[in-house]
Amino acid sequence: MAAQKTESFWWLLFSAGGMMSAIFLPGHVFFQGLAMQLGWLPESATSYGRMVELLSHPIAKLYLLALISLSLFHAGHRLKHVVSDLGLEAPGLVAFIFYGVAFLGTGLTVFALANIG
Amino acid sequence: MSDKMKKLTVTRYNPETDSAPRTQTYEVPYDDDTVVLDALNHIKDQQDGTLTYRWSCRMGVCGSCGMNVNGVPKLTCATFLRDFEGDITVEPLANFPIMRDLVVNMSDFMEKLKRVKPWLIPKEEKSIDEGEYLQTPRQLEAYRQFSMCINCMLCYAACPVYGKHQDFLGPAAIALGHRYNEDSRDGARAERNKIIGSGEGVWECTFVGECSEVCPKHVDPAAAIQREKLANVLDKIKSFILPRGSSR
Repeated sequence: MAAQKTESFWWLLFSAGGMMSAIFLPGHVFFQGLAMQLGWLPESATSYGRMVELLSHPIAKLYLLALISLSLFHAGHRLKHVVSDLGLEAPGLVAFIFYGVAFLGTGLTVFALANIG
Repeated sequence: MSDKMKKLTVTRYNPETDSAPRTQTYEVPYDDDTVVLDALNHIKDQQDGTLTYRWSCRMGVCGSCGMNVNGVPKLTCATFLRDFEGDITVEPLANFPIMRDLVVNMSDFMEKLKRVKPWLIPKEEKSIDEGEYLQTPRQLEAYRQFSMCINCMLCYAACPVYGKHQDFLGPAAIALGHRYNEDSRDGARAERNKIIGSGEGVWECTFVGECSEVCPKHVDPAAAIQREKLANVLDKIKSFILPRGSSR
């Protein structure tokens, strides 16, 4: 069974998402997951007001949208192939579920970002 | 040879008398220098002359003696018995039809190899008087690693995608195509990519990466496939933006 014609498009999203998440996610895990929680950063930098101000900027919104959406498409594409490697042969349904979740996540991100600031 | 003994369970299949492959167990003496191919040669010379397998150079160059050893595709001339605890299972390379005992039918691979045109197709033919097609060391480095393939087909035996979809062009053929695509003397990338960039080419790969794990020559076919994917997507984007422009 040959790969579908759209495979290169999904792969491009996968590839971009892999790059984004590999470069930026470790930083988020460190700053938001560790440094902020353990009080390593000054209160003024991490306050609610400061965060809202930061996320009100269009570039910050665009960055977060790209990071979240592309990472979701990366994960969706990877999982689609894992499922096929495990022997489940239902490419249409599997793609619908995983890419569907990525589209849904992208939509929710757009909605959330549009409502900040 | 020492008095240490090892049990080898070997796949046997004679298409004229067997309806399905079976196994046979032999016991062979070994020491630190004994490789699986030596053990098979010992069986053929001393115990059972009917055992059939391919081999030639005994030094990891010809790519003939690939077999699944304890389920992993290996060149048997470079796989030492001392590295295995307990018995050893020797099977023909997975994902290929068996012709006899440990010999597989490689016609499918040979046909695929031909389809990627793994030879130099210069942009412009030069006459002998015009001299050689010169290349800098840097231009050589761009493809050298991918030219190390010995067509042993271990990557096909390791590839779960090829195991499921025999139409997949496969790791070695794509790596070889990539080798010529990256060669500064070559000008047939667009032609090769009709095959490499098709649904039976790179886009069927699900990036499992086992091909590069088992490659005895460190060709890294998985990297070749990913690079061809990127080049292919960039070509598509370029032809979308510049419909009348030429490809790289």
